[in-house]
Amino acid sequence: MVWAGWFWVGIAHAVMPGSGVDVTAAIAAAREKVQAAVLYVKCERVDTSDGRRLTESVSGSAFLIDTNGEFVTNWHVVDKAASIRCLLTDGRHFDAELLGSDKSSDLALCRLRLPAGEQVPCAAFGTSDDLAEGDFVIAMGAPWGLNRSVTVGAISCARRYLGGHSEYTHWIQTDTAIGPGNSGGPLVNLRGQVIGINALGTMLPGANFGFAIPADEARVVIDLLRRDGKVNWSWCGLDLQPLRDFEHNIYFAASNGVIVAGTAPDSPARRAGVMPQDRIIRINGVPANGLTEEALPDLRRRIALLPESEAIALEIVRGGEKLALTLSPRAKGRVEGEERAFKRWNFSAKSINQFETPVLFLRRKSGVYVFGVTSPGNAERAGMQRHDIILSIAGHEITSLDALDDVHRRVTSDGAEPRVSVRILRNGRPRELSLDFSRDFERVY
Amino acid sequence: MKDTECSLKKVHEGYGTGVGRVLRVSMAVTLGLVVGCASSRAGRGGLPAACDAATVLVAYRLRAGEPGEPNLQISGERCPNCGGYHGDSLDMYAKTQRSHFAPGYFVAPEWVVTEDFFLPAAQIAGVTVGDRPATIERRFPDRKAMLLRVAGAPHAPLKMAAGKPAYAASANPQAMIRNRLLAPARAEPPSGAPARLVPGAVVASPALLLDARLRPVGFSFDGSGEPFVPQGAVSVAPDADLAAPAVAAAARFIVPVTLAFRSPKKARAGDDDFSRYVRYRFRASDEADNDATVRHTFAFRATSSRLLVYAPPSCLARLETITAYLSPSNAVCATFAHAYRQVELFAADLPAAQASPLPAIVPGAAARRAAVAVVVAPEGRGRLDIHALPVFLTAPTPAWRDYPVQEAIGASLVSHDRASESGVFIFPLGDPAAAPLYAPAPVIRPANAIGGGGYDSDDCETLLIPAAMLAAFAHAPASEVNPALKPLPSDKEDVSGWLGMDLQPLTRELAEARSMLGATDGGRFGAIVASVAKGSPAAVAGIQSGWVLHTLTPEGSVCPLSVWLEENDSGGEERFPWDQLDEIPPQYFSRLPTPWPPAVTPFNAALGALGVGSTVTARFLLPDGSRRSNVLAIAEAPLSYVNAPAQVWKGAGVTLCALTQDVRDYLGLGPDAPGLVVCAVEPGGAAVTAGLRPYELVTHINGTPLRSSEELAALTARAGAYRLNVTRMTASRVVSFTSRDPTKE
Repeated sequence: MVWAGWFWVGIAHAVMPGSGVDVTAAIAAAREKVQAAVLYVKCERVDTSDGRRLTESVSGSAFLIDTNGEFVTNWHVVDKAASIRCLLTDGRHFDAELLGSDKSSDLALCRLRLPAGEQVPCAAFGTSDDLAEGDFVIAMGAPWGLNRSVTVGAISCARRYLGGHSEYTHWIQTDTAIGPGNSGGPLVNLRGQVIGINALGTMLPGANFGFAIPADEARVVIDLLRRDGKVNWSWCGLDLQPLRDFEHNIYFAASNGVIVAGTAPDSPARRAGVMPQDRIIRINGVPANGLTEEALPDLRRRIALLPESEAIALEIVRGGEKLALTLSPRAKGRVEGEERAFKRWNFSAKSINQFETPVLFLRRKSGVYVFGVTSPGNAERAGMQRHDIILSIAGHEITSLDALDDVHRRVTSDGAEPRVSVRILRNGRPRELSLDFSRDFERVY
Repeated sequence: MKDTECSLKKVHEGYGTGVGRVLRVSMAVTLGLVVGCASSRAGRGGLPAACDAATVLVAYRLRAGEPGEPNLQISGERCPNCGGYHGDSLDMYAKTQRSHFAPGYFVAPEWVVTEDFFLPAAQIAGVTVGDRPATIERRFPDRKAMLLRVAGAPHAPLKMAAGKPAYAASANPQAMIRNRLLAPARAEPPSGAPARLVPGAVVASPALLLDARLRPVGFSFDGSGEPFVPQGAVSVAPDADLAAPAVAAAARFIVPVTLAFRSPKKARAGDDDFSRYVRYRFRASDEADNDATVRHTFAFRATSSRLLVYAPPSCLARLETITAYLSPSNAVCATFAHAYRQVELFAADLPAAQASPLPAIVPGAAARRAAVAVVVAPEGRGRLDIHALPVFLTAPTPAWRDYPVQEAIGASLVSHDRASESGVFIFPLGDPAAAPLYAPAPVIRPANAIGGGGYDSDDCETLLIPAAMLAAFAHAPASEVNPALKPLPSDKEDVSGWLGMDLQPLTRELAEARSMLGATDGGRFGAIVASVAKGSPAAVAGIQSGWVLHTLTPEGSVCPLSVWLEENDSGGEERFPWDQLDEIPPQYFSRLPTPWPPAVTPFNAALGALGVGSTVTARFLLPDGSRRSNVLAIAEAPLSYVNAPAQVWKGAGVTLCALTQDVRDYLGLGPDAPGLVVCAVEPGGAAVTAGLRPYELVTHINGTPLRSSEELAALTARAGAYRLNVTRMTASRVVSFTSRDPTKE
């Protein structure tokens, strides 16, 4: 009731879509439409960061988008989940399976395993295009595990760029209380339509911001996940920079296009001859807009969704002269390496991935590195540290996790001497370790 | 039998009645058993009873000295049992209010002769013999003896005979002290059984010297076998100032010196590495001195024109001026000549005009005589704190290089706090024109290991060696001189040595895997050669990766040094916060560690201290079990990030330094890749606002590739708008700003 009173005072003269509606009634109506479709998700996640396979429990939220049980949540909720279980608001619970997920956009599409004849409600997407600051929104989910929670707030910024999180999407910034566990839940407008997927919050005292993925951008990804099980982003190796950067006081004298900040080594862009400080004005004939950093995610997404089999025509301006270049993009592929834990050796290894560990990729394009070291453990005793790149074990060169598996199987079989010599690369320097695994740290008494 | 009985009676009467009677009976029985005892008139300890009776305990009550004065240790010769020096300091006696006891002998009814400990008169509160007060009347410094006059009733003295000494009965002060504490019921003989005098052997003093018939012929308080008798010996008044003449002599030979140094260079960001380097290049105890710009010390005038200055080698690199104060008003500038490998001295020359002649230093070692110890310490600019006190020189020991070293004295005189600054010189007694007999040599005891592991570092012990032998260092052969220790120009100040091997410390597991646990002491010593740099001394000598570097023997060194590297836990690759660089406030930039591992390790710093250009013999353990020895010349380390030449771009508020090989290797850049590394950004400057951060690489300015400081200076000469291509590890971007005109500040 206190809430209602405040709203009434605050927005006596506000103009909102569908204005003339009593806010409390609108909130109640919106909630009615969506709450039944909100899921409380619990996953058993496989984690190897401690050097061994551990399962931890992760909880989050999701919302159903189809009566066949399809639901949308965040990638980071269902990442590496061995099992997914969902609880509906009405108390029914079901297992679920993953249909597809994408780390770059932090979205995942799953489906409930419904018994025959079981019906579930679903929510509808709205458009996030016409959102305005000050619009009221409702977040639903399970912050801190408190499922069936509903919080209300306003949109603080409809088009927010977050460095490090905005490769392909913007964010809706809202002051609706969003906490850990709200991830994957819906952000709903007063018409009862899902206009965002809650994904980020801030943990700073005094900062009441949460961030949601806009529905329009999410739908593109969800459709691709449904179709292919993943999003086949393509990659050119172009780093972009806006024409106007107030933060850093960097301005380029132009009003159209986007600046090339740099090109990744061995990338299609580098091979095509794109240079830093070039200004791209058209991509496949369509003007490119990179006026401010808020414009960059759309541009990057546009380029990354272009099929990798087709060349991209770039029109660039270099030193006042116009140039035409052709790029042949390639598939981005995995954006994180696969992890594996090794018994008896007491460490876990991960493949080196260009996007996840660029510094290690610089040292070794195809290889594995030490991801976790169990303490106490044999690898720790041998002096192995996280982020060591494994060059060879027992004389066998290691370029993949499978190769590492083979060696592991061979040397941990009975009868083999429980000590191997390991060559690693640490800080760019080769080092030798002697891994003695005669001790068994896994034995339970 | 009758004779014996008579003599016994006399003995017992001498001792007193009651006890004697009781003993008479038992002695009569035992004597019957004692056949052929040479001492037919033996008392209980084997000495004639009269001798025992005349042996008394002298007690000195002592006063503490003034702070700042030498705290004298009352210690004698090296103990034959444990090899150490027993005794306490005078101050300790004063604090515990206990007396110093020593045996004395009555030579006349009122006169006692006893050992002279050279106690300062001011610190003697009172002397008692037995329980009667006594005064010091005469001193015999050359025989370390004193004559006391005892108040009260006269005492039966020793009847001295004339003759040659054949036995020595050493007094047992411990027994005498016990007797005094526990009452005569437990009386133990004050002297041990007489021992045959061996010609030339040191007598355990204090001792009574006896002839073949056990009659006293003299005393020995100085360990000599020559009997001392007070009559006819050279003596001085008790308050004679034995030390004063030596002070004048000292002023001629010991000169206050003030050294002035250049200020140390400010460490580059990544402070941690540089300070660690500094700590190992110079000895840990001298850390405080690393920042000092002035050091007061003293020098020994080895010849009329050459000074041997007492200063640790750590200060030499930044040494600028040497000022010698030949008198408080005569400050003279000396020039550096050379420093030494095995002693912490350096030679400096006085200008020819100031080279006044000196008395000649007598060669050879002096012992078993009184002398004066002159303790000097720097007091301030041009002044020395001098204390002179008489001492007795004991027999020297060949403690270093077979030089005769006076071990006892040096250790006993210097107070702990000023031990590293002060020196003790020994001058002859009574001659103000004499040259010193002994001078302090700060001998470097090299560490057992090299490389920074285990905090093993060179140690310095100051030994008193004959002054002539120290003076010989003034014109020492090249083998004594360490050419690497000398003042260096500013750009060479932190040069380190390099052999071209990237070394990984050995561990127990690795040593076991390679079957070399024994040679490496369980994996503690030794280092695996991880890689060999092209064109380096190691590469030229054919060293290969996988070999284990076991020991290094520097040129001119007496022992091989085990290679013991510091455990280098630089952590994994992702430790440097590349993606948080933007969030770190500028005032913390200098605390960021460098992303790349330090090129200058304690091992390289130690090589630098050995001297670029000098050779080392390196021994390796090969994987096949064989050993190999190579002589390698220490090369100057190639430039690395900490000493890469830097250029300040004032208008932008950024300092860029050259791209050195260690950074190129880390970033994976080829030799032709352009770029200068940002080593500092000025807070509030145009560069830092535009997002430039330390450790980024500026590859192009306004489209022109940047390769050197000269190019940078040329490109950035004018204020205006600049566009830079910047790379942060793997990501690039364009940075632009307007630089200010620095002259318009």
